[in-house]
Amino acid sequence: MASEYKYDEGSDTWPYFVLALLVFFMVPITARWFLRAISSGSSSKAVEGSIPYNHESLQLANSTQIDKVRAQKRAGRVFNRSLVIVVLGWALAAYIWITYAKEVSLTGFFDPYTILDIPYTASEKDIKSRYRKLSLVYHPDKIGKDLTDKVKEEMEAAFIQINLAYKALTDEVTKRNLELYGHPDGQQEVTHGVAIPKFLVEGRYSQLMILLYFVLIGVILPFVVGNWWSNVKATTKRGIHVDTAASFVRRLADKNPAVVYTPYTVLDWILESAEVTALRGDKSVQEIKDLVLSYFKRESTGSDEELTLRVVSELLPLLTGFIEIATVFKVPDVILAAFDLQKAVHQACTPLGKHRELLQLPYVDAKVVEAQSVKKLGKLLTLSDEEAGKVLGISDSKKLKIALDVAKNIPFIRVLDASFKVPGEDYISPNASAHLVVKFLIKSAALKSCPEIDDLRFTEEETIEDLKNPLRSNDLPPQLPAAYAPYFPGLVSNSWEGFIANQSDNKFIEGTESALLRNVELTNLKLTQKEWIEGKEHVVAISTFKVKLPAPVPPTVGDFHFRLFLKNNAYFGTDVDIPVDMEVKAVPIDQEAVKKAAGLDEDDSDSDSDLDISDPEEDSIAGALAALRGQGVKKSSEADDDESDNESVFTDINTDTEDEGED
Amino acid sequence: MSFRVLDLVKPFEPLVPEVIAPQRKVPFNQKVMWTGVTLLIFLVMSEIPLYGIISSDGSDPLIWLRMMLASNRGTLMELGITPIVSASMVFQLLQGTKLIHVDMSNKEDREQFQTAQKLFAMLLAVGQATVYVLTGMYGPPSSLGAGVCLLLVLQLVFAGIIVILLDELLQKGYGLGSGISLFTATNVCEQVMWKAFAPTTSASSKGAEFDGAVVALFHLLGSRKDKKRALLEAFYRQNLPNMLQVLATVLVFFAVVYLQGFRVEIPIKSTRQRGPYAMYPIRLFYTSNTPIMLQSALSSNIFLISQMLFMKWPNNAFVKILGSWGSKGGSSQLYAVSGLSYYIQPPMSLTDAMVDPIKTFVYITFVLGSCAVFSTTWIEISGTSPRDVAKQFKEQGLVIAGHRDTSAYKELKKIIPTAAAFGGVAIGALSVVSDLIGTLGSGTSILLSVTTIYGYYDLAVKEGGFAKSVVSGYTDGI
Repeated sequence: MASEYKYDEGSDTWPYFVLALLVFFMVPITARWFLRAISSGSSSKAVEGSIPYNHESLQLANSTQIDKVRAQKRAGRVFNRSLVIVVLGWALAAYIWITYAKEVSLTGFFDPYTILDIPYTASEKDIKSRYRKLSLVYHPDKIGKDLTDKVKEEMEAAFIQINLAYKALTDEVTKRNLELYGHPDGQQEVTHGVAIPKFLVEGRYSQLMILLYFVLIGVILPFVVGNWWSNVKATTKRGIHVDTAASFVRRLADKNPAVVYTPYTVLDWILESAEVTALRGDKSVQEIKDLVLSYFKRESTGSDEELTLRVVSELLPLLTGFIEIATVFKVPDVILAAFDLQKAVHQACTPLGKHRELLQLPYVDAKVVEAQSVKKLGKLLTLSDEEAGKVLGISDSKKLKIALDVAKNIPFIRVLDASFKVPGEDYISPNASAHLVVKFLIKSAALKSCPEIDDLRFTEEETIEDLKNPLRSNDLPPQLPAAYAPYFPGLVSNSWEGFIANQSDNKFIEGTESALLRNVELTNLKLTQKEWIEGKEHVVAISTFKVKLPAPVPPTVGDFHFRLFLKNNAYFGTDVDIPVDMEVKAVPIDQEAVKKAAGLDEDDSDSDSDLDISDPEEDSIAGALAALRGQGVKKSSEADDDESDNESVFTDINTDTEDEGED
Repeated sequence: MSFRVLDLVKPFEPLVPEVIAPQRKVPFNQKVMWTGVTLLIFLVMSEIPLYGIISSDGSDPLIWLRMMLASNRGTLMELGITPIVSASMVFQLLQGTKLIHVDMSNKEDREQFQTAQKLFAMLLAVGQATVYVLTGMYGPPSSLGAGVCLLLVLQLVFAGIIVILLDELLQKGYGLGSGISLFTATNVCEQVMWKAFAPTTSASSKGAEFDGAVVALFHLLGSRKDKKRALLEAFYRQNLPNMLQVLATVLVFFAVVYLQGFRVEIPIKSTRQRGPYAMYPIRLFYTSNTPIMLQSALSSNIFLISQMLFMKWPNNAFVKILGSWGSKGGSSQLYAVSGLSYYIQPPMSLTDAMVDPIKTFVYITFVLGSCAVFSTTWIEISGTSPRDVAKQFKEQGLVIAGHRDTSAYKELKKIIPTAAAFGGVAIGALSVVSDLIGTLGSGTSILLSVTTIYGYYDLAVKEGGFAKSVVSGYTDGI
């Protein structure tokens, strides 16, 4: 582009450029905001097996504060900064369109339709008749003689234009020229402009522009990049603060194996995190801890109620992060303590103690419960309503009904069978990658004893899909409903997490990651005692959970003992801790291969001959390349039947012996 | 051990600048940053004009290659990635054919190989720069003077070395992907964005119009009285990029992304470690964009030679068969008007293709055929042929599930060449289609950049999304 650019003098073009860019950026931003706003609306559906009580239906004392904390979280989705950007952006676009979009008359330029004054859609016939009409007026021969020379000249010029315009619409060459170069006579000198308003470049604003550039490149750009970078560095992939993660790692690395770790230890560690520090303001860590402890006792903290709830809701992501980090350290005791703390946070009850199962129910009187001997939900549900009321310390019959309903609907796991499996094999071979298959029944605490289930119902058919992805069946059942957690400000998704530990050293297996059990059929909760004990197919649903063994099976033959933990994140008493055995057997020797290797099976080798990796043929590219590398090449002309047969018999035997040697 | 060619570079080893490989794995975020910095340097370099040139107008014999080689006329990036590409191609060929012996498992050998390749790339840069300056690409050398000529060569070589080092920086694990494809993709993307959003205007007798297609759409809609006509003009204008081209580009982009997902998955299992089946994917684009790269390298070389011959001997019969050249529509750019070159030169537009159906037919056959051939040839050269893969399987004790241990080769032989040939044809067809419907930029370059972008997306998903390390710094440190 040798020619110089002209700046935009009359504000004809630059608004359009700004407009186009604005729209280009606004469309994705708007779409994102819109999708987010929609997705926040559809989360509270009634799912089978859910416990439909929340802080409102239980009429908790602090439900207004809970609502407030929840609303603050949700408001972030619809009324946030991007809404402001969306509104402002489109307002600016509309303003630019209204102010600057003015129709430019085409009279100054060569536009055949304007010159002939006909609509764009005019047919050829119309064009012709219009041309005739105009030429009757403007043709030099028809011009009235009484006009001045000046007018005459003008009319002549107009006639030339009309002629050109007519030609441009009817003549192929002229039409094409107009299309390609914008002029009927072919390519013309084109002036180039740039859509930057002239007043910004010349005149008194130019100094300002330089300053603006300086600020943009020298100040804003480094600031934005630096900000982005420090943000990236500040949080880990799981969204917890880097300092928090580092302190967790330090705590776990310095862990004293001789000390017993309780949920309160974990709570202390977590309250030191950067996230809680940011929330607590001028309160000390101890004060915050007291607030959390009174939350566990379901006591009101008065004016600090909102702060308490906010701290409590912040504990959850921190706990998840903590558990994940602790998993890397393979230490079961800390993780189990962390899970207890998590449950306590969800149910607002003490994380330790024998009566936790009962204390997680609504309306219970902690002092009454702790003074008596009933500890399990199962035991509680065998009692009559009156006795249960006494045990829980609830006198109101309505409240008692709700509490017992919650107790009945908490899903418990009854493990039927747990065994290791290698896909595609019916035994466990050394070094194989195996997974643990857990067959279990979901039951309500009200259901007594366990039905007899025929072993045949455990067997599964292995399809090719299962062989590809053995854990596929984990995703098939419906998702668990949100957990019952009325005291906790926020929705909680319920799940079990599975871990496998070695019994020999009581540590998790190398490379353990928590296996999430989130999809379970809950229909068993609604069964009557009779249906339950009959255990008919299609009535009592058997669930399956598969946990991948993170490390390969031990390389030696023998018996190995493991321990399976299934930890629920929301309810006390629903955890599983069972021993699992694994018997590793040697791979049986493949009889056929032995036979072949011994050369007893020569008949078969004919069909095998072309299956081996043969040398490339000489006259192909592959052959040429192989020859260059000094590898074997098959002569194409020599590829007679007998010869290749002989050769292949030989190679066949050869390779098979090698194979056996490897095994 | 006897004398080796590779040992020749030993004396130069301390002289060749080198990027030191990172001590430990660079985290994903830092990789993103390094890649960004590299890109910024590259972009700045492709905007800095060469000092001392008189003119860079006149017919550009390399116009067919410019976009692919990420080169920008008259700037420091005049050479683009040509030296690296040529050097790595030559060395890959030498190594693939075992003409030079290099033991890739030996660290010293590997380093020497890389040094040799870098040295060769530098030599190429010097040579190319000298040829460019002396053939009068920036004005006749006699009028430039010896000093300026030397200065020009130095500028070009210096820029070339920087590009070589930037590429090495990315390749050694500081950044993502390879510099070559990154620069190409960036260059193409930049041009596409410019053609869609350019703020420059051209004022013809029709009045001022925006060069950028999307901006022009707004401008025409806003400033014209007849909205329907404005819309038609925005979509069909011939003199400048139009909206139809923008849409075609978007369409080709998504078509390539869609086709990238096409694959045959072969279930394989290990005989040494029993367990679930693994999947060995054989993509439709088994050879990725290599066939189209080779094809365009072939045709642009033919154009280059033919154009040069035609300049010297315009009346020679043989030269005329190879191609005779003429300018089109007033610009100094030359196009083939007859001969072989004419038939393998992409048609300028759909109407062009209609006017001469024989040429169109020959062109399509040539592109599809050569792509298929190049694709099937490439698997042999690059070591991804069924034979190589089957050998690899055997070494690792892998067998195809549901087949006998020995039949892996047979199965792979059924699938891989078909996938390669068909993939080559598909990518050739895409290139032809995008040339015909007129994307912003040539079909080849669009394909190159889309496959690169998709590769980056894959990489980001793999490295950024599902990496194992829970706490950055913890797993890295131990």
